[in-house]
Amino acid sequence: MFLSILSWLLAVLLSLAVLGIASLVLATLWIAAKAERLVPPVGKFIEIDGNRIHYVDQGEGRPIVFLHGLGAQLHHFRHTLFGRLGPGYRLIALDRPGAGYSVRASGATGRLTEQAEIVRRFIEALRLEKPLVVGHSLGGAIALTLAVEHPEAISGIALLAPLTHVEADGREKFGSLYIPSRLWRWIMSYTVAIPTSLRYARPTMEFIFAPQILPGDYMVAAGGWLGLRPAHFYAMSSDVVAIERDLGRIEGRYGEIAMPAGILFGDADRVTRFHTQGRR
Amino acid sequence: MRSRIQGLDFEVVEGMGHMPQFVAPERIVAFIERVANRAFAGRDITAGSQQFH
Repeated sequence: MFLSILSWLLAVLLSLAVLGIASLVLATLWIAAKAERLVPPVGKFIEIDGNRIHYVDQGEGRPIVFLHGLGAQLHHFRHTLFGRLGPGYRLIALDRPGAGYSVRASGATGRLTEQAEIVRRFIEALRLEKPLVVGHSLGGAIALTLAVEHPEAISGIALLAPLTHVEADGREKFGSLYIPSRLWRWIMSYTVAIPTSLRYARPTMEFIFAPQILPGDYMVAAGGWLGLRPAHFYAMSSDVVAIERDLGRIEGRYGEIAMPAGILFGDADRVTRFHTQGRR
Repeated sequence: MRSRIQGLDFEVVEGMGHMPQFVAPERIVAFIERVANRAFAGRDITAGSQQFH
């Protein structure tokens, strides 16, 4: 009798757990489908070493390649800057592998040197003659890696609020994004991460934009919805792990950079804080 | 960073947060064009040049 009740209880608990997990997976897929409906692809695709890269390419003249930050995508530049840079430029913004509509190659790690090499191969594939590379936030760290590892491929770097140094409290800062295990990262991507991200999307983006105001059109016009997809979360978490593994080695080589370079920082930046990322 | 990268164009914007391209796009365009002028100095920038497109 006791065993029968125990078996029944276990069966109920197991059913509830399966139902809960299935609900999270379905919610994740529903949110991702909505994101793709609201912000469809806008550019072309090119295959680079197994990575399917989505990019926009407009204008003629001096080539500038734009690298977005963590959890972002090409609309962060296309929406804000492309209409404002005058004629005489060829403007190319790509979704970094795993972000936006770009797909990271099977087995790729997101390590900074790997991402810099993909950008180098992208520049080569598009036959760009030594472009200027603009990098925002984590895109700045990749531009710096490119400048250190492949200086012959580019003519200069212009960095906006770049990530330049590993911070002592980096893991705490990235919180639930720091997931070293690939399996656990994948499980989180398809269960808890996306519904939770949707729940906290507004306060998270308000924190990132502060002290300025989150633009009302950010989620659609600037592609914010695209971050609410499991592959995007997986890539973001991979990027966070890669920062800790690679940036310390790269930052020791900044003295080798001899090409024209610029850095712009806001002194009220709460993400890549000026006193740790800019002043050092 | 200024002491580590020779000739670095270093601009600090008072009161600016992490998303300058959204908040002050004209200022960012000026910054990019300033670095671009140094990066492309001495190169043929004729629109339509095969070198660039």
